[in-house]
Amino acid sequence: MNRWILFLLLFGCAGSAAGARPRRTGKPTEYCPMVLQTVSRLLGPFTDDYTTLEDGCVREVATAGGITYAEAVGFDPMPSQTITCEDHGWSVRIGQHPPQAPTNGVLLIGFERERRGARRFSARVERSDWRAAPNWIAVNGCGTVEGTVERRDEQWIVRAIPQEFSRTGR
Amino acid sequence: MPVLVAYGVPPNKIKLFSITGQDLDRTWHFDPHTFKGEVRANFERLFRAALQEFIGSEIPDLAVADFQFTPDLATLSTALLQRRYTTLVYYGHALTDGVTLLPLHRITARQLANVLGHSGVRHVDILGCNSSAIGALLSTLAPDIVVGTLRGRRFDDVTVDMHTMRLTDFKIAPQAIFHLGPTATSPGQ
Repeated sequence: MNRWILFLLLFGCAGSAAGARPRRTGKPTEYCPMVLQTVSRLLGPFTDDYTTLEDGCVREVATAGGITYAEAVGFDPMPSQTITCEDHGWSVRIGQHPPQAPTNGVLLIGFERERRGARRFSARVERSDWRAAPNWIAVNGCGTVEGTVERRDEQWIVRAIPQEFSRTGR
Repeated sequence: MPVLVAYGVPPNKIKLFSITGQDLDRTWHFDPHTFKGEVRANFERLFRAALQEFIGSEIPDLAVADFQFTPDLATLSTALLQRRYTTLVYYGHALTDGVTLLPLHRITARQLANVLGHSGVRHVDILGCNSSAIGALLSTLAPDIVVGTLRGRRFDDVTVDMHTMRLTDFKIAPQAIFHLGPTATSPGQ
């Protein structure tokens, strides 16, 4: 397939996430603590090295009723049954065919294969119906974040990787 | 009525996944480092057509506007000195702080007002997220200038050939522009 559709979304504004009691639904999984710890570290004020996704920008399109919706992908294999991980105002779905979030956008976080106990990840905002339109991807003003997540004892350590965009091809 | 379209490009590095969430081991990278030459020319050609469809009815001279990749304040200042533009269209990101444009580097509303004060620009359209807040502030700082803003989030549909990574189509979903300022009229009125 030669042609892919990209959706460029530029938006912003404010929002907030309400706290919630940690909860897991669907098939029990080791993924939930990792993905919840990861998403909890992604949002913040804009940084010049792109180590956060702009908080208000993401919540404007991915938050409804105090819940910010995310989808975690890239696992091998992807679970056939949807796993929903919920904590502190986040709802993160993992699966081949999760239900569409009730928001215009979702935070899409992709994990790579585990290597030496750590996984690289990348995260960005995507349209919530992205699975219904194969090969559509979103480029947006909320930015992209890359990082690693690693288990140490009983904790997941999340580190964002600074990105350098300061030089331009003027 | 010379028109300058000053645009920025948000850096985005996008890893691709299948609709079932499997890693496709492919990444699409829209990078300011490589945004030059044919890549930029192709983007501007598609962007010009998209913008014409979006606000061409409001800005009659948009069809012959100058387009300038404007990553920072210095580039914008230089562009405004090179020709006596009367209309400026800004297309790019704006931060949620409500006072900062981010075409790539930060441009504050005060810096923009200062630059505009030394130019012939009488009308500015800010086409980005959060443009209402910074538009209102700019209208206060530069009361002689009409400022147009978007109240809704902007959705742009772009088609890319993923084998060549070349943009092949670009559309901006239509929405109204609201004007603030002395007469609150668009340049075409």
